Amino acid sequence: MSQKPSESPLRIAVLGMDSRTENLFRMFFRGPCQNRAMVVGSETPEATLIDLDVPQGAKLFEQHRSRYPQQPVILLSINPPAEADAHTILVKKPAQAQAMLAAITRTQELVAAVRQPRSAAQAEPSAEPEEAKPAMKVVTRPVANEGSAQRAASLLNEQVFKSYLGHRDDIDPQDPKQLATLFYNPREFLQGHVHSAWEVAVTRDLPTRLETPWRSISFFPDQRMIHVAADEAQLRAVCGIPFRNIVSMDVGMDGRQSLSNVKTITADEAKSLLESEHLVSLESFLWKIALLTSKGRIPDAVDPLRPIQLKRWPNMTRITLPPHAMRIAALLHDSPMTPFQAAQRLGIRQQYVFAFFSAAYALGLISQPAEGVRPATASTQPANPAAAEKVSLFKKILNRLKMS
Amino acid sequence: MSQYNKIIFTGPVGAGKTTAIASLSDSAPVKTDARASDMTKERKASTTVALDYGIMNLPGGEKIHLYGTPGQERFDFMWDILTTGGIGLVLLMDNTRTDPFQDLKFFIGKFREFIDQTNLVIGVTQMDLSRHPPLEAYHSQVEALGLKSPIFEVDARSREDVSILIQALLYSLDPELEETP
Ligand SMILES: Nc1nc2c(ncn2[C@@H]2O[C@H](COP(=O)(O)OP(=O)(O)OP(=O)(O)O)[C@@H](O)[C@H]2O)c(=O)[nH]1
Ligand SMILES: [Mg+2]
Repeated sequence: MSQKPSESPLRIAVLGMDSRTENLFRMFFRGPCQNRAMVVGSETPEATLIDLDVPQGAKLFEQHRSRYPQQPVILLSINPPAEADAHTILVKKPAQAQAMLAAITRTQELVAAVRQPRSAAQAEPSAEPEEAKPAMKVVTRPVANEGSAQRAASLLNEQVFKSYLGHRDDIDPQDPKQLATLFYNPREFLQGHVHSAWEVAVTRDLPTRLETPWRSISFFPDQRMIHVAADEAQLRAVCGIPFRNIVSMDVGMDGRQSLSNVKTITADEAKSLLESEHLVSLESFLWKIALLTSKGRIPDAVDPLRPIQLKRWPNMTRITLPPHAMRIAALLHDSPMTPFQAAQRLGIRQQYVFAFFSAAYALGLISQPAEGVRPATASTQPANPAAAEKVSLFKKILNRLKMS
Repeated sequence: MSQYNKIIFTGPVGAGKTTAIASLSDSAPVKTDARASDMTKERKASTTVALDYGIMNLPGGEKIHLYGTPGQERFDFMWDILTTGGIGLVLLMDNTRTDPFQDLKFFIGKFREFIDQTNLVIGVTQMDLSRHPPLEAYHSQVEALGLKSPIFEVDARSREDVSILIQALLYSLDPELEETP
Protein backbone atom coordinates (compact mmCIF):
# COMPACT_ATOMS: atom_id res chain seq x y z
CA MET A 1 0.00 0.00 0.00
CA SER A 2 2.61 2.49 1.00
CA GLN A 3 4.98 4.24 -1.34
CA LYS A 4 8.27 5.90 -0.89
CA PRO A 5 7.38 9.12 0.76
CA SER A 6 7.67 12.44 -0.99
CA GLU A 7 8.74 11.13 -4.40
CA SER A 8 5.53 10.04 -6.00
CA PRO A 9 2.42 12.07 -5.28
CA LEU A 10 0.47 11.21 -2.17
CA ARG A 11 -2.65 9.31 -3.21
CA ILE A 12 -5.66 10.91 -1.55
CA ALA A 13 -9.26 9.81 -1.62
CA VAL A 14 -11.84 12.50 -1.02
CA LEU A 15 -14.95 11.94 1.06
CA GLY A 16 -18.19 13.84 1.09
CA MET A 17 -17.36 16.17 -1.75
CA ASP A 18 -19.31 16.60 -4.90
CA SER A 19 -17.53 16.17 -8.20
CA ARG A 20 -17.04 19.88 -8.64
CA THR A 21 -15.23 20.33 -5.36
CA GLU A 22 -13.32 17.16 -6.00
CA ASN A 23 -12.19 18.60 -9.31
CA LEU A 24 -11.13 21.76 -7.62
CA PHE A 25 -8.89 19.79 -5.35
CA ARG A 26 -7.45 17.91 -8.29
CA MET A 27 -6.49 21.23 -9.78
CA PHE A 28 -5.31 22.55 -6.47
CA PHE A 29 -2.99 19.58 -5.93
CA ARG A 30 -1.69 19.76 -9.47
CA GLY A 31 -1.12 23.49 -9.43
CA PRO A 32 -0.51 25.27 -6.13
CA CYS A 33 0.54 22.01 -4.45
CA GLN A 34 3.08 21.18 -7.17
CA ASN A 35 1.80 17.68 -7.82
CA ARG A 36 2.72 16.54 -4.35
CA ALA A 37 -0.65 14.86 -4.03
CA MET A 38 -3.31 13.49 -6.33
CA VAL A 39 -6.95 12.55 -5.98
CA VAL A 40 -7.59 8.86 -6.52
CA GLY A 41 -10.70 6.72 -6.41
CA SER A 42 -11.35 4.62 -3.35
CA GLU A 43 -9.15 1.68 -4.53
CA THR A 44 -5.73 2.46 -3.18
CA PRO A 45 -5.64 5.68 -1.26
CA GLU A 46 -2.89 6.37 1.20
CA ALA A 47 -4.86 9.06 2.92
CA THR A 48 -8.31 10.57 2.88
CA LEU A 49 -9.39 14.16 2.63
CA ILE A 50 -12.62 14.99 4.45
CA ASP A 51 -14.51 18.25 4.62
CA LEU A 52 -15.87 18.40 8.14
CA ASP A 53 -18.21 21.25 7.32
CA VAL A 54 -20.50 19.46 4.94
CA PRO A 55 -23.68 18.47 6.78
CA GLN A 56 -22.74 14.82 7.13
CA GLY A 57 -19.05 15.64 7.53
CA ALA A 58 -18.61 14.68 11.16
CA LYS A 59 -20.43 11.44 10.61
CA LEU A 60 -18.37 10.63 7.54
CA PHE A 61 -15.22 11.21 9.47
CA GLU A 62 -16.38 9.07 12.37
CA GLN A 63 -17.36 6.21 10.13
CA HIS A 64 -14.16 6.42 8.23
CA ARG A 65 -12.16 6.44 11.44
CA SER A 66 -13.86 3.38 12.82
CA ARG A 67 -13.18 1.47 9.62
CA TYR A 68 -9.64 2.70 9.11
CA PRO A 69 -8.31 3.66 12.52
CA GLN A 70 -4.81 4.36 11.29
CA GLN A 71 -5.21 5.75 7.84
CA PRO A 72 -4.08 9.36 7.74
CA VAL A 73 -6.89 11.83 7.29
CA ILE A 74 -6.60 15.43 6.25
CA LEU A 75 -9.55 17.13 7.89
CA LEU A 76 -10.69 20.44 6.45
CA SER A 77 -12.81 22.83 8.41
CA ILE A 78 -13.50 26.49 8.89
CA ASN A 79 -13.39 25.77 12.60
CA PRO A 80 -11.12 22.78 13.08
CA PRO A 81 -11.64 20.95 16.37
CA ALA A 82 -9.10 21.74 19.06
CA GLU A 83 -7.66 18.27 19.08
CA ALA A 84 -7.32 15.40 16.69
CA ASP A 85 -6.08 11.84 16.89
CA ALA A 86 -2.54 11.06 15.89
CA HIS A 87 -3.47 10.12 12.34
CA THR A 88 -5.47 13.19 11.60
CA ILE A 89 -4.09 16.43 10.27
CA LEU A 90 -6.21 19.52 10.57
CA VAL A 91 -6.27 22.13 7.84
CA LYS A 92 -8.17 25.30 8.37
CA LYS A 93 -10.27 26.61 5.54
CA PRO A 94 -9.76 28.59 3.44
CA ALA A 95 -7.11 26.06 2.56
CA GLN A 96 -3.93 27.80 1.59
CA ALA A 97 -1.36 26.04 -0.55
CA GLN A 98 1.24 26.41 2.17
CA ALA A 99 -0.88 24.76 4.83
CA MET A 100 -1.89 22.02 2.45
CA LEU A 101 1.71 21.35 1.47
CA ALA A 102 2.64 21.04 5.14
CA ALA A 103 -0.26 18.65 5.65
CA ILE A 104 0.87 16.56 2.70
CA THR A 105 4.38 16.31 4.08
CA ARG A 106 3.09 15.31 7.48
CA THR A 107 0.78 12.73 5.90
CA GLN A 108 3.62 11.21 3.95
CA GLU A 109 5.54 10.84 7.18
CA LEU A 110 2.58 9.07 8.73
CA VAL A 111 2.22 6.80 5.73
CA ALA A 112 5.86 5.86 6.03
CA ALA A 113 5.44 5.23 9.76
CA VAL A 114 2.47 2.93 9.37
CA ARG A 115 4.14 1.12 6.57
CA GLN A 116 3.42 -2.37 7.83
CA PRO A 117 0.43 -3.35 5.71
CA ARG A 118 -2.62 -3.80 7.76
CA SER A 119 -6.02 -4.91 6.76
CA ALA A 120 -8.17 -1.88 6.82
CA ALA A 121 -11.12 -3.78 8.22
CA GLN A 122 -9.30 -4.64 11.43
CA ALA A 123 -10.31 -1.86 13.69
CA GLU A 124 -8.32 -2.39 16.83
CA PRO A 125 -7.56 0.91 18.47
CA SER A 126 -5.71 -0.89 21.27
CA ALA A 127 -3.19 -2.18 18.74
CA GLU A 128 -2.18 1.30 17.77
CA PRO A 129 1.42 2.04 18.48
CA GLU A 130 0.91 5.70 19.14
CA GLU A 131 -1.08 6.66 22.15
CA ALA A 132 0.45 9.97 22.96
CA LYS A 133 -2.49 12.11 22.01
CA PRO A 134 -5.99 11.72 23.29
CA ALA A 135 -8.47 10.58 20.72
CA MET A 136 -10.19 13.34 18.91
CA LYS A 137 -13.64 14.22 20.10
CA VAL A 138 -15.82 14.90 17.17
CA VAL A 139 -18.87 16.86 18.12
CA THR A 140 -21.43 15.28 15.94
CA ARG A 141 -24.40 17.25 14.91
CA PRO A 142 -27.36 14.94 14.70
CA VAL A 143 -27.81 14.41 11.02
CA ALA A 144 -30.94 12.91 9.60
CA ASN A 145 -30.23 10.57 6.75
CA GLU A 146 -30.75 12.07 3.35
CA GLY A 147 -33.83 9.99 2.74
CA SER A 148 -35.67 11.62 5.58
CA ALA A 149 -34.01 14.93 4.81
CA GLN A 150 -35.84 14.89 1.52
CA ARG A 151 -39.15 14.60 3.29
CA ALA A 152 -38.07 17.00 5.98
CA ALA A 153 -37.32 19.49 3.26
CA SER A 154 -40.98 20.18 2.91
CA LEU A 155 -41.75 20.04 6.62
CA LEU A 156 -39.06 20.80 9.15
CA ASN A 157 -40.21 19.84 12.59
CA GLU A 158 -38.55 21.36 15.64
CA GLN A 159 -36.01 18.59 15.94
CA VAL A 160 -34.87 18.61 12.34
CA PHE A 161 -34.86 22.38 12.31
CA LYS A 162 -32.56 22.38 15.29
CA SER A 163 -30.18 19.83 13.87
CA TYR A 164 -29.91 21.71 10.59
CA LEU A 165 -30.06 25.28 11.75
CA GLY A 166 -29.25 25.25 15.43
CA HIS A 167 -30.97 26.54 18.51
CA ARG A 168 -31.38 30.18 19.42
CA ASP A 169 -32.67 31.27 22.77
CA ASP A 170 -35.47 33.78 23.02
CA ILE A 171 -34.22 37.28 23.54
CA ASP A 172 -35.46 40.26 25.47
CA PRO A 173 -36.44 42.90 22.89
CA GLN A 174 -35.74 45.64 25.43
CA ASP A 175 -32.11 44.62 25.75
CA PRO A 176 -30.07 46.23 22.95
CA LYS A 177 -27.23 43.77 23.44
CA GLN A 178 -29.45 40.78 22.94
CA LEU A 179 -31.26 42.50 20.13
CA ALA A 180 -28.00 43.01 18.28
CA THR A 181 -27.46 39.26 18.03
CA LEU A 182 -30.62 38.94 16.03
CA PHE A 183 -29.38 40.35 12.75
CA TYR A 184 -27.54 39.05 9.74
CA ASN A 185 -26.58 40.72 6.50
CA PRO A 186 -27.93 38.75 3.52
CA ARG A 187 -25.36 40.39 1.24
CA GLU A 188 -22.60 38.54 3.03
CA PHE A 189 -24.13 35.24 2.03
CA LEU A 190 -25.03 33.46 -1.16
CA GLN A 191 -28.54 34.80 -0.56
CA GLY A 192 -27.48 38.36 -1.43
CA HIS A 193 -25.74 37.29 -4.64
CA VAL A 194 -28.80 35.33 -5.71
CA HIS A 195 -31.14 38.24 -5.08
CA SER A 196 -29.08 40.71 -7.06
CA ALA A 197 -28.63 38.25 -9.92
CA TRP A 198 -32.37 37.72 -10.05
CA GLU A 199 -32.88 41.48 -10.26
CA VAL A 200 -30.45 41.65 -13.16
CA ALA A 201 -32.25 38.80 -14.91
CA VAL A 202 -35.60 40.51 -14.49
CA THR A 203 -34.28 43.87 -15.67
CA ARG A 204 -32.72 42.34 -18.76
CA ASP A 205 -35.68 40.02 -19.14
CA LEU A 206 -33.32 37.31 -20.33
CA PRO A 207 -32.08 33.97 -19.02
CA THR A 208 -29.13 34.91 -16.86
CA ARG A 209 -26.41 33.04 -15.08
CA LEU A 210 -24.74 33.85 -11.82
CA GLU A 211 -21.26 32.41 -11.91
CA THR A 212 -19.59 31.78 -8.60
CA PRO A 213 -16.62 29.62 -7.75
CA TRP A 214 -19.09 27.48 -5.81
CA ARG A 215 -21.49 26.71 -8.62
CA SER A 216 -23.34 28.53 -11.29
CA ILE A 217 -26.97 29.36 -10.80
CA SER A 218 -29.22 30.13 -13.75
CA PHE A 219 -32.25 32.38 -13.64
CA PHE A 220 -35.21 32.26 -16.00
CA PRO A 221 -37.37 35.32 -15.49
CA ASP A 222 -40.09 34.26 -17.93
CA GLN A 223 -40.62 30.92 -16.26
CA ARG A 224 -39.78 32.25 -12.82
CA MET A 225 -37.49 29.27 -12.45
CA ILE A 226 -34.00 28.75 -11.14
CA HIS A 227 -31.49 26.08 -12.06
CA VAL A 228 -28.82 24.98 -9.63
CA ALA A 229 -27.17 21.57 -9.49
CA ALA A 230 -27.00 21.21 -5.72
CA ASP A 231 -28.85 18.95 -3.33
CA GLU A 232 -30.37 19.90 0.01
CA ALA A 233 -27.26 19.19 2.00
CA GLN A 234 -25.04 21.19 -0.31
CA LEU A 235 -27.40 24.14 -0.15
CA ARG A 236 -27.47 23.99 3.62
CA ALA A 237 -23.70 23.97 3.68
CA VAL A 238 -23.25 26.89 1.32
CA CYS A 239 -25.88 29.02 3.06
CA GLY A 240 -24.46 28.30 6.46
CA ILE A 241 -21.28 30.35 6.24
CA PRO A 242 -20.39 33.70 4.70
CA PHE A 243 -19.98 33.29 0.98
CA ARG A 244 -16.52 34.80 0.96
CA ASN A 245 -15.26 31.94 3.13
CA ILE A 246 -16.63 29.34 0.79
CA VAL A 247 -15.15 31.03 -2.19
CA SER A 248 -11.70 31.30 -0.70
CA MET A 249 -11.70 27.56 -0.10
CA ASP A 250 -11.24 27.40 -3.84
CA VAL A 251 -7.66 28.31 -3.47
CA GLY A 252 -6.95 28.09 -7.16
CA MET A 253 -8.83 31.36 -7.42
CA ASP A 254 -6.42 33.04 -5.07
CA GLY A 255 -8.77 35.96 -4.55
CA ARG A 256 -8.19 37.10 -8.10
CA GLN A 257 -11.65 36.28 -9.27
CA SER A 258 -14.66 38.18 -8.00
CA LEU A 259 -17.15 36.37 -5.82
CA SER A 260 -19.74 36.31 -8.51
CA ASN A 261 -20.30 37.26 -12.05
CA VAL A 262 -23.56 37.73 -13.91
CA LYS A 263 -23.84 36.71 -17.56
CA THR A 264 -26.54 36.22 -20.13
CA ILE A 265 -27.16 32.65 -21.27
CA THR A 266 -27.57 31.62 -24.88
CA ALA A 267 -30.96 30.37 -25.98
CA ASP A 268 -29.66 26.83 -26.58
CA GLU A 269 -28.15 26.59 -23.17
CA ALA A 270 -31.28 27.96 -21.59
CA LYS A 271 -33.36 25.37 -23.38
CA SER A 272 -31.36 22.46 -22.09
CA LEU A 273 -31.23 23.83 -18.55
CA LEU A 274 -34.99 24.32 -18.56
CA GLU A 275 -35.38 20.63 -19.26
CA SER A 276 -33.04 19.60 -16.51
CA GLU A 277 -34.12 17.99 -13.27
CA HIS A 278 -32.45 20.64 -11.14
CA LEU A 279 -35.03 23.26 -11.95
CA VAL A 280 -36.88 24.83 -9.04
CA SER A 281 -39.37 27.62 -8.77
CA LEU A 282 -38.01 31.04 -7.91
CA GLU A 283 -40.21 31.32 -4.85
CA SER A 284 -39.31 28.00 -3.32
CA PHE A 285 -35.60 28.64 -3.91
CA LEU A 286 -35.53 32.16 -2.48
CA TRP A 287 -37.60 30.96 0.43
CA LYS A 288 -35.31 28.07 1.13
CA ILE A 289 -32.02 29.92 1.01
CA ALA A 290 -33.46 32.69 3.17
CA LEU A 291 -34.51 30.10 5.71
CA LEU A 292 -31.17 28.31 5.65
CA THR A 293 -29.23 31.55 5.87
CA SER A 294 -31.33 33.23 8.52
CA LYS A 295 -31.44 30.25 10.88
CA GLY A 296 -33.85 32.31 12.91
CA ARG A 297 -32.09 35.63 12.61
CA ILE A 298 -33.45 38.51 10.56
CA PRO A 299 -32.02 40.76 7.85
CA ASP A 300 -30.36 43.81 9.33
CA ALA A 301 -32.60 46.13 7.32
CA VAL A 302 -35.63 45.18 9.40
CA ASP A 303 -36.91 46.72 12.61
CA PRO A 304 -38.22 43.85 14.72
CA LEU A 305 -39.81 46.18 17.23
CA ARG A 306 -42.35 47.44 14.72
CA PRO A 307 -45.46 45.46 13.84
CA ILE A 308 -45.29 43.42 10.68
CA GLN A 309 -47.93 41.80 8.56
CA LEU A 310 -47.98 38.95 6.08
CA LYS A 311 -49.37 40.48 2.89
CA ARG A 312 -50.06 37.17 1.19
CA TRP A 313 -49.68 33.55 2.13
CA PRO A 314 -46.69 31.90 0.52
CA ASN A 315 -47.33 28.81 -1.57
CA MET A 316 -47.22 26.48 1.41
CA THR A 317 -47.51 23.24 -0.56
CA ARG A 318 -44.27 23.87 -2.44
CA ILE A 319 -41.90 25.35 0.10
CA THR A 320 -39.89 24.15 3.06
CA LEU A 321 -42.07 24.70 6.09
CA PRO A 322 -40.23 25.65 9.27
CA PRO A 323 -41.86 24.67 12.58
CA HIS A 324 -45.30 26.23 13.19
CA ALA A 325 -45.30 27.86 9.76
CA MET A 326 -49.06 27.45 9.33
CA ARG A 327 -49.92 29.10 12.60
CA ILE A 328 -47.41 31.90 12.15
CA ALA A 329 -48.70 32.60 8.65
CA ALA A 330 -52.31 32.61 9.78
CA LEU A 331 -51.59 34.93 12.68
CA LEU A 332 -49.45 37.43 10.78
CA HIS A 333 -51.88 37.40 7.88
CA ASP A 334 -54.70 38.17 10.22
CA SER A 335 -53.36 41.26 11.95
CA PRO A 336 -50.11 43.21 12.31
CA MET A 337 -47.94 42.56 15.34
CA THR A 338 -44.27 42.37 16.16
CA PRO A 339 -42.52 39.02 15.75
CA PHE A 340 -42.03 39.00 19.52
CA GLN A 341 -45.75 39.35 20.08
CA ALA A 342 -46.47 36.62 17.55
CA ALA A 343 -44.16 34.18 19.32
CA GLN A 344 -45.81 34.98 22.60
CA ARG A 345 -49.32 34.63 21.25
CA LEU A 346 -48.55 31.25 19.76
CA GLY A 347 -46.49 30.09 22.71
CA ILE A 348 -43.53 29.15 20.50
CA ARG A 349 -39.87 30.09 20.40
CA GLN A 350 -39.02 33.40 18.73
CA GLN A 351 -36.53 31.66 16.49
CA TYR A 352 -39.34 30.01 14.53
CA VAL A 353 -41.15 33.28 13.99
CA PHE A 354 -37.94 34.95 12.83
CA ALA A 355 -37.11 32.07 10.49
CA PHE A 356 -40.55 32.27 8.91
CA PHE A 357 -40.38 36.03 8.84
CA SER A 358 -37.00 36.10 7.05
CA ALA A 359 -38.13 33.66 4.40
CA ALA A 360 -41.37 35.55 3.80
CA TYR A 361 -39.44 38.82 3.74
CA ALA A 362 -37.17 37.44 1.02
CA LEU A 363 -40.25 36.86 -1.13
CA GLY A 364 -41.54 40.37 -0.51
CA LEU A 365 -44.52 39.06 1.44
CA ILE A 366 -43.99 41.17 4.53
CA SER A 367 -45.20 44.69 5.08
CA GLN A 368 -44.59 46.99 7.98
CA PRO A 369 -47.74 49.04 8.30
CA ALA A 370 -47.23 52.73 8.91
CA GLU A 371 -46.39 53.86 12.41
CA GLY A 372 -49.43 54.40 14.52
CA VAL A 373 -51.16 51.17 13.58
CA ARG A 374 -51.73 49.56 16.88
CA PRO A 375 -50.59 45.99 16.99
CA ALA A 376 -53.19 43.44 17.88
CA THR A 377 -52.88 42.43 21.47
CA ALA A 378 -56.14 40.84 22.51
CA SER A 379 -56.17 37.13 22.11
CA THR A 380 -59.04 35.77 20.07
CA GLN A 381 -60.09 33.23 22.61
CA PRO A 382 -63.43 31.63 21.93
CA ALA A 383 -66.10 33.72 23.63
CA ASN A 384 -68.95 31.27 23.91
CA PRO A 385 -69.48 27.55 24.32
CA ALA A 386 -70.37 27.03 20.67
CA ALA A 387 -67.08 28.61 19.65
CA ALA A 388 -65.18 26.50 22.14
CA GLU A 389 -66.79 23.43 20.69
CA LYS A 390 -65.73 24.54 17.25
CA VAL A 391 -62.15 24.98 18.39
CA SER A 392 -62.03 21.50 19.82
CA LEU A 393 -63.41 20.11 16.59
CA PHE A 394 -60.84 21.98 14.54
CA LYS A 395 -58.06 20.56 16.68
CA LYS A 396 -59.33 17.08 16.04
CA ILE A 397 -59.42 17.67 12.32
CA LEU A 398 -55.88 19.01 12.40
CA ASN A 399 -54.63 16.02 14.28
CA ARG A 400 -56.36 13.74 11.87
CA LEU A 401 -54.78 15.55 8.91
CA LYS A 402 -51.33 15.38 10.43
CA MET A 403 -51.59 11.75 11.40
CA SER A 404 -50.21 10.31 8.21
CA MET B 1 -71.97 16.90 18.36
CA SER B 2 -70.88 20.01 16.63
CA GLN B 3 -73.12 21.37 13.99
CA TYR B 4 -70.08 22.64 12.17
CA ASN B 5 -69.12 19.47 10.50
CA LYS B 6 -68.90 20.06 6.80
CA ILE B 7 -66.17 21.22 4.49
CA ILE B 8 -67.39 22.27 1.09
CA PHE B 9 -65.33 21.80 -2.05
CA THR B 10 -66.28 23.72 -5.11
CA GLY B 11 -64.82 24.82 -8.41
CA PRO B 12 -65.22 24.36 -12.14
CA VAL B 13 -65.52 21.12 -14.05
CA GLY B 14 -62.40 19.01 -13.79
CA ALA B 15 -60.70 21.12 -11.10
CA GLY B 16 -60.16 18.05 -8.95
CA LYS B 17 -62.97 18.21 -6.38
CA THR B 18 -63.85 14.52 -6.57
CA THR B 19 -60.17 13.58 -6.47
CA ALA B 20 -59.40 15.86 -3.50
CA ILE B 21 -62.28 14.47 -1.46
CA ALA B 22 -61.14 10.97 -2.28
CA SER B 23 -57.61 11.86 -1.10
CA LEU B 24 -58.91 12.84 2.33
CA SER B 25 -61.80 10.50 2.82
CA ASP B 26 -61.70 7.48 5.11
CA SER B 27 -64.42 5.59 3.38
CA ALA B 28 -64.60 5.26 -0.32
CA PRO B 29 -66.27 8.48 -1.32
CA VAL B 30 -69.68 8.37 -2.78
CA LYS B 31 -69.25 9.55 -6.29
CA THR B 32 -72.05 10.50 -8.51
CA ASP B 33 -70.06 10.81 -11.64
CA ALA B 34 -71.65 10.16 -14.96
CA ARG B 35 -70.21 10.17 -18.40
CA ALA B 36 -69.77 13.72 -19.37
CA SER B 37 -72.23 15.09 -21.82
CA ASP B 38 -72.32 18.20 -23.96
CA MET B 39 -69.99 20.95 -22.75
CA THR B 40 -67.72 18.90 -20.55
CA LYS B 41 -67.23 16.19 -23.10
CA GLU B 42 -64.04 17.39 -24.63
CA ARG B 43 -62.27 17.81 -21.36
CA LYS B 44 -62.89 14.65 -19.44
CA ALA B 45 -64.64 11.32 -19.56
CA SER B 46 -66.70 11.64 -16.39
CA THR B 47 -68.11 14.51 -14.42
CA THR B 48 -69.95 14.77 -11.13
CA VAL B 49 -73.65 15.26 -11.69
CA ALA B 50 -74.89 15.46 -8.09
CA LEU B 51 -72.61 15.77 -5.09
CA ASP B 52 -69.37 14.25 -4.01
CA TYR B 53 -69.40 13.03 -0.49
CA GLY B 54 -66.65 11.72 1.76
CA ILE B 55 -66.09 11.27 5.47
CA MET B 56 -63.14 11.97 7.71
CA ASN B 57 -63.47 10.08 10.97
CA LEU B 58 -62.17 11.93 13.99
CA PRO B 59 -61.05 10.54 17.30
CA GLY B 60 -64.04 10.36 19.64
CA GLY B 61 -66.41 9.26 16.92
CA GLU B 62 -67.03 12.62 15.33
CA LYS B 63 -67.12 12.87 11.60
CA ILE B 64 -66.31 15.60 9.17
CA HIS B 65 -68.39 15.48 6.06
CA LEU B 66 -66.72 16.50 2.86
CA TYR B 67 -69.04 17.73 0.16
CA GLY B 68 -68.13 18.49 -3.39
CA THR B 69 -70.40 20.46 -5.62
CA PRO B 70 -70.93 19.39 -9.15
CA GLY B 71 -68.81 21.44 -11.47
CA GLN B 72 -71.55 22.25 -13.88
CA GLU B 73 -73.30 25.49 -13.27
CA ARG B 74 -76.78 24.24 -13.77
CA PHE B 75 -76.71 22.43 -10.45
CA ASP B 76 -76.26 25.54 -8.38
CA PHE B 77 -79.73 25.37 -6.81
CA MET B 78 -78.32 23.01 -4.20
CA TRP B 79 -75.52 25.18 -3.02
CA ASP B 80 -77.37 27.05 -0.26
CA ILE B 81 -78.58 23.94 1.46
CA LEU B 82 -75.13 22.53 1.23
CA THR B 83 -73.34 25.31 3.01
CA THR B 84 -75.44 25.36 6.17
CA GLY B 85 -73.18 24.26 9.00
CA GLY B 86 -70.10 24.40 6.83
CA ILE B 87 -66.71 25.13 8.36
CA GLY B 88 -65.37 26.82 5.28
CA LEU B 89 -65.02 26.72 1.55
CA VAL B 90 -62.31 25.03 -0.46
CA LEU B 91 -62.27 26.47 -3.95
CA LEU B 92 -60.32 24.44 -6.47
CA MET B 93 -59.31 26.17 -9.67
CA ASP B 94 -58.09 24.45 -12.82
CA ASN B 95 -55.14 26.40 -14.17
CA THR B 96 -55.55 25.01 -17.67
CA ARG B 97 -58.97 26.56 -18.17
CA THR B 98 -59.30 29.31 -20.74
CA ASP B 99 -60.32 31.96 -18.25
CA PRO B 100 -59.68 30.80 -14.70
CA PHE B 101 -60.38 34.27 -13.31
CA GLN B 102 -63.86 34.23 -14.68
CA ASP B 103 -64.35 30.93 -12.85
CA LEU B 104 -62.88 32.47 -9.74
CA LYS B 105 -65.30 35.38 -9.76
CA PHE B 106 -68.19 33.11 -10.52
CA PHE B 107 -67.59 30.75 -7.63
CA ILE B 108 -66.68 33.43 -5.12
CA GLY B 109 -69.86 35.27 -6.15
CA LYS B 110 -72.02 32.19 -5.67
CA PHE B 111 -70.58 31.48 -2.22
CA ARG B 112 -69.91 35.02 -1.09
CA GLU B 113 -72.23 34.98 1.89
CA PHE B 114 -70.84 31.70 3.10
CA ILE B 115 -67.26 32.93 2.63
CA ASP B 116 -67.96 36.08 4.60
CA GLN B 117 -69.34 34.02 7.46
CA THR B 118 -66.60 31.44 7.42
CA ASN B 119 -63.42 31.34 5.40
CA LEU B 120 -61.99 30.56 2.02
CA VAL B 121 -58.94 28.71 0.78
CA ILE B 122 -58.03 28.31 -2.86
CA GLY B 123 -56.15 25.44 -4.40
CA VAL B 124 -54.96 25.91 -7.96
CA THR B 125 -54.70 22.52 -9.65
CA GLN B 126 -53.07 21.37 -12.89
CA MET B 127 -50.20 23.79 -12.42
CA ASP B 128 -47.94 20.97 -13.48
CA LEU B 129 -49.61 21.31 -16.86
CA SER B 130 -49.78 25.08 -17.01
CA ARG B 131 -47.79 27.57 -14.91
CA HIS B 132 -49.89 30.44 -16.19
CA PRO B 133 -51.50 32.33 -14.68
CA PRO B 134 -49.18 32.37 -11.65
CA LEU B 135 -50.46 32.38 -8.09
CA GLU B 136 -49.72 36.11 -7.73
CA ALA B 137 -52.35 36.83 -10.34
CA TYR B 138 -54.89 34.83 -8.33
CA HIS B 139 -53.97 36.81 -5.24
CA SER B 140 -54.54 40.07 -7.08
CA GLN B 141 -57.92 38.91 -8.35
CA VAL B 142 -59.04 37.79 -4.92
CA GLU B 143 -57.84 41.02 -3.31
CA ALA B 144 -59.74 42.99 -5.94
CA LEU B 145 -62.86 41.24 -4.64
CA GLY B 146 -62.06 42.49 -1.15
CA LEU B 147 -60.89 39.12 0.15
CA LYS B 148 -57.62 37.71 1.44
CA SER B 149 -57.09 34.02 1.43
CA PRO B 150 -54.47 31.31 1.34
CA ILE B 151 -53.87 30.33 -2.29
CA PHE B 152 -51.69 27.31 -2.93
CA GLU B 153 -50.62 25.18 -5.80
CA VAL B 154 -52.37 21.88 -5.22
CA ASP B 155 -52.36 18.58 -6.98
CA ALA B 156 -55.70 17.10 -6.00
CA ARG B 157 -54.18 13.64 -6.28
CA SER B 158 -51.74 14.44 -3.48
CA ARG B 159 -53.19 13.92 -0.04
CA GLU B 160 -50.46 16.08 1.45
CA ASP B 161 -51.30 19.03 -0.77
CA VAL B 162 -54.98 18.77 0.04
CA SER B 163 -54.19 18.35 3.72
CA ILE B 164 -52.07 21.52 3.82
CA LEU B 165 -54.88 23.40 2.15
CA ILE B 166 -57.39 22.26 4.77
CA GLN B 167 -54.96 23.04 7.57
CA ALA B 168 -54.64 26.57 6.23
CA LEU B 169 -58.43 26.84 6.26
CA LEU B 170 -58.61 25.82 9.91
CA TYR B 171 -55.70 27.95 11.04
CA SER B 172 -56.97 31.01 9.27
CA LEU B 173 -60.22 30.56 11.14
CA ASP B 174 -58.22 30.43 14.36
CA PRO B 175 -54.42 30.93 14.24
CA GLU B 176 -54.08 30.06 17.88
CA LEU B 177 -55.28 26.52 17.51
CA GLU B 178 -52.71 24.39 19.17
CA GLU B 179 -51.15 21.44 17.50
CA THR B 180 -52.10 18.87 20.11
CA PRO B 181 -55.56 18.05 21.39
N1 LIG C 1 -52.07 16.71 -13.98
C1 LIG C 1 -52.88 16.96 -12.95
N2 LIG C 1 -54.06 16.31 -12.86
C2 LIG C 1 -54.86 16.58 -11.82
C3 LIG C 1 -54.49 17.50 -10.82
N3 LIG C 1 -55.49 17.55 -9.92
C4 LIG C 1 -56.44 16.68 -10.34
N4 LIG C 1 -56.06 16.09 -11.49
C5 LIG C 1 -56.80 15.16 -12.34
O1 LIG C 1 -57.83 15.93 -12.98
C6 LIG C 1 -58.94 15.08 -13.31
C7 LIG C 1 -60.25 15.72 -12.89
O2 LIG C 1 -60.43 15.60 -11.51
P1 LIG C 1 -61.87 15.41 -10.84
O3 LIG C 1 -61.60 15.16 -9.41
O4 LIG C 1 -62.71 14.46 -11.59
O5 LIG C 1 -62.47 16.85 -11.04
P2 LIG C 1 -63.86 17.41 -10.50
O6 LIG C 1 -63.59 18.77 -9.97
O7 LIG C 1 -64.49 16.45 -9.58
O8 LIG C 1 -64.67 17.54 -11.84
P3 LIG C 1 -66.29 17.59 -12.05
O9 LIG C 1 -66.87 16.51 -11.21
O10 LIG C 1 -66.48 17.36 -13.49
O11 LIG C 1 -66.73 18.93 -11.66
C8 LIG C 1 -58.66 13.76 -12.63
O12 LIG C 1 -58.19 12.87 -13.61
C9 LIG C 1 -57.55 14.08 -11.63
O13 LIG C 1 -56.73 12.97 -11.39
C10 LIG C 1 -53.23 18.19 -10.95
O14 LIG C 1 -52.84 19.04 -10.15
N5 LIG C 1 -52.48 17.87 -12.03
MG1 LIG D 1 -66.24 15.53 -9.65
